[in-house]
Amino acid sequence: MTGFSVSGRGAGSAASGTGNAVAPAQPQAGAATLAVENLRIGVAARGGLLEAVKGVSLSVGPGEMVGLVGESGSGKTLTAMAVCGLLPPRAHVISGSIRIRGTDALGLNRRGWEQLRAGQVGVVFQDAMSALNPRLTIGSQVMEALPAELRHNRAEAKEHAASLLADAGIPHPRERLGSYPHELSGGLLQRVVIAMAVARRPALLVADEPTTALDVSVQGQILDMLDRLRSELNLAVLLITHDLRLVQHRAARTVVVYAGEVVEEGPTAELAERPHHRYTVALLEAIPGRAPRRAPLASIQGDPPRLDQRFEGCPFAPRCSAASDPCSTAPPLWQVVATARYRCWHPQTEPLGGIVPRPQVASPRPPTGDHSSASPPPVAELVDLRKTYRIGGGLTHLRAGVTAAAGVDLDVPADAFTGLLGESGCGKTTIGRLLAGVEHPDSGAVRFEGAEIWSLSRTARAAWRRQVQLVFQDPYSALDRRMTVEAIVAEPLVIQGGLRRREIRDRARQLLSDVGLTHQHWGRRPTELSGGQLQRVSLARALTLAPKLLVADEPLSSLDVSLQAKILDLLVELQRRYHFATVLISHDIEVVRYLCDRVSVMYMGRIVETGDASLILAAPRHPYTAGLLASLPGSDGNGRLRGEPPSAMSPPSGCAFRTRCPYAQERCAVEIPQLWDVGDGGRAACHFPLVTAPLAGGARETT
Amino acid sequence: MAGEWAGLVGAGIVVVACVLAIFAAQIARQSPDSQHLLQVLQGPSAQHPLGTDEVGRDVLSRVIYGSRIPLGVGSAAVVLGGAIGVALGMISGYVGRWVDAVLGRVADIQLSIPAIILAVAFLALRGGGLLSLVVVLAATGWPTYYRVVRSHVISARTGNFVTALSVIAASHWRIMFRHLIPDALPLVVVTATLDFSRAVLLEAGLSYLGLGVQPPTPDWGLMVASGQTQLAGAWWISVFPGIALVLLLLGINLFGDWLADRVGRRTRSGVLQ
Repeated sequence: MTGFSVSGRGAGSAASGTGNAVAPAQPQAGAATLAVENLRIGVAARGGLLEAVKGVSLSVGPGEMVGLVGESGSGKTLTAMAVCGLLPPRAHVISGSIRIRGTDALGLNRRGWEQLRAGQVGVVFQDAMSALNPRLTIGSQVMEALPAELRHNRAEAKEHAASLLADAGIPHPRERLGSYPHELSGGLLQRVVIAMAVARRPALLVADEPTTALDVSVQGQILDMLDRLRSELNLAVLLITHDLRLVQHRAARTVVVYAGEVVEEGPTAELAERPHHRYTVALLEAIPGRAPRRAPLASIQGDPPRLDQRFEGCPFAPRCSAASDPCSTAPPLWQVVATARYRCWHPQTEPLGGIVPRPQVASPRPPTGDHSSASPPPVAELVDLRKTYRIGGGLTHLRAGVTAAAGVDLDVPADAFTGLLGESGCGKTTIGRLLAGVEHPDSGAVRFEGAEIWSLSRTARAAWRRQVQLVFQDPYSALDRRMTVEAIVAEPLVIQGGLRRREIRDRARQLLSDVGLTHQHWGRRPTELSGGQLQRVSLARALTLAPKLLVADEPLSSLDVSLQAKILDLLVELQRRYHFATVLISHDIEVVRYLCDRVSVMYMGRIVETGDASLILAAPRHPYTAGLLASLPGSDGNGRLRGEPPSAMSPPSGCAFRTRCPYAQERCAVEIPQLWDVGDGGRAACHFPLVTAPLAGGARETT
Repeated sequence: MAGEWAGLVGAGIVVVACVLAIFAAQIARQSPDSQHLLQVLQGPSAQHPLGTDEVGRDVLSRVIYGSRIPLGVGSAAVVLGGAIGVALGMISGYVGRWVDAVLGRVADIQLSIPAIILAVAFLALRGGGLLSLVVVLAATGWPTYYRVVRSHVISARTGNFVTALSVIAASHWRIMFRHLIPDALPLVVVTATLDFSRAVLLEAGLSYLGLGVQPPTPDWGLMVASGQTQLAGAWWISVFPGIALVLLLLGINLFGDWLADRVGRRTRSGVLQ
């Protein structure tokens, strides 16, 4: 268990439970809080019944957290729903058993299920906002979740609700009782939902992607809180996620599912260190934080399996790089290794070395390309850019302004990747939109190749428009769903004019094959494509006009890990071939570190640190960057960011980060720090920048 | 599924009504206007399956011919009102700002006046007639299209759809006519079916009140009115055109519901289930 020194919190206490003590192949049904055996779930579809879950077995003991990890379509959510008795009407259990504290849950009628859920099972879903009633106060909803005997006395119930919120780590719980859901941030709402889920002291908590919609800094805090509740309440927790990094340090055991089957399970630490099944290996390899910069990530071919796909042998065989004869014909058998088990004909034999991102030691690396000190002028630059959105208005509300950009300077070097990093609401999307000229700044300049884009002549503006393209997070919302893929990619050329139909078609097809879409996709429409394929289409369309600058706003966040890796590989390859500058807007440090030459970190409308990406993300100088790095899933959590960003409508005085900064001093509240040279070509906006790697102690430099 | 059957039945009724209206001259065995004073107020018989009215006209023929006015006036009103509503909704949603505010208030005012009162006032001043009917039905119908198209365009504009088009240098014209309107078309069609049934009903109502088409034109609303005095002795004069009207409205609504279901499943919001 090398490299997992924090096991005292997660894996350690759980080892005393049932899960680790016995061989996982024969879970002790009597002692486990949740025992699922050979569960098969069918989904009614046009072509008949599709088997979406094909014999999943798992068990969770009291006080144990078990991770259920899989990509979309793996059946993980259906399994979770079945465990809570909340399967959608189209799905039903074909066979198998679910036992919750010894009760055969599948034998229950509706009423029995309700009683079981009320007393024994808490559920937390991904979207906290939709789990709460927007018209009721937090307090009334939490009180409603309390057991009946605590609800009789209103004052007492209030007291209990407040203490529940406090347990869930909500500051000022008593005042929060009167708030409405829309007044709370996503992270706080998820805490409320978790507080409600544990209000009746259930034996089992099922959390389905509880942190997926949240920022990394908040993600870590919520998972820590779940972990604390687990040990305090002796709660059995089933944590469902697509991200192996999240279960790290937290789940004692992890079950990896693929195409409705368990392919591997074992103690999390062991699984990360020494995975056996090729799918687990590929999932780990797809995490950009583990890989050296721009090394090919994706070893998984093709797309995740569809529900209607049938497999003779190993379901992963069609996508596996190690697949050979028996894989596609004979289903692999369970292999038991110590406390883990897996089903693979060609298991990985070498240890992989865990999930923990290897901090790439800061060796001053000459930036790739030729944009160092004697570099050509940047392709685009932002000069003291300001943008404030007015919100509210009307008769009753005072108008308020949200500052999305408070004087941003940014140089975008040609033919390189520039990362724009920050939590949601920091203004990074606005900067992207300003760069792409789809938003007008309040003041400041947006220059492209030296010329201010808002004072271009009509013809110059038309030429500029083709040079800068945007890629969106959700490609489906940006594409015309009535058009074929080929027509979508051809449209920019059709608008540009001057080409023959054949030429346009050939160019569109060329681009589509460049992004890995074959002729069978050309005639399809967006509704018939998967998320990964859609993002390829939108990349192809953005490149149709051979732009010099591509602004990609979170192009990966809606994709599964394996698809994300493939799009990253594709971006690297396309950039190598077509030589455009890319501004990658992302909240994902690992993606930025993997891809970008330069990075600018934003906090509340300002750039707080900027410079060479590999240097900054190895040895950050600004405490905020350091905090973001410490919040990465898979890291041990020391120095993790506290709390959440303050409201953008009333930013703190002085340095906006001071309210969350562990080093804040009086000067920080008075004086807004400006970006200044902190060495190695990096600039930070901090009065007291860090001098050494903050993870190693955070010595201070006094100025 | 039950919904599919209802949709099919609805579509069937509408198709039958249209065939009757178009080929009335070929289908009806007798002229709707020829009076047979020796055969007044006869009950249903082999010669007159739905009986005859107070001047001896064949009720069946009149019911068949009577489909022409509601269908014709209804279609014309839907086309006119739809065109106005779609155009204004498009402009309002796309341009926004004060244009949106002004058009939005105009639509609000239009919707705040009860359609029947406006129609009565207009027709009383201008006199009946087909053109007046179409105008009044379109004038009371457009705000629905306006609202549907406007909100659709606004959601496309605040989402990435319009931004994505403007970065590839698509003109406003292209964005509106090649992308936004076709994109909104399914919703417009659903709105149109509902508006069509409203127009048919209002037309029948106005003609019943004597404000729409004038006798002796065969028209269901008018027939119900003229048979009213004879209801005790010769119920068939009013009841059969009434049944025809009910059937047509039922058909349109069944078809419209089915269509709305299908469109709902295929639009942006619905496609991911």
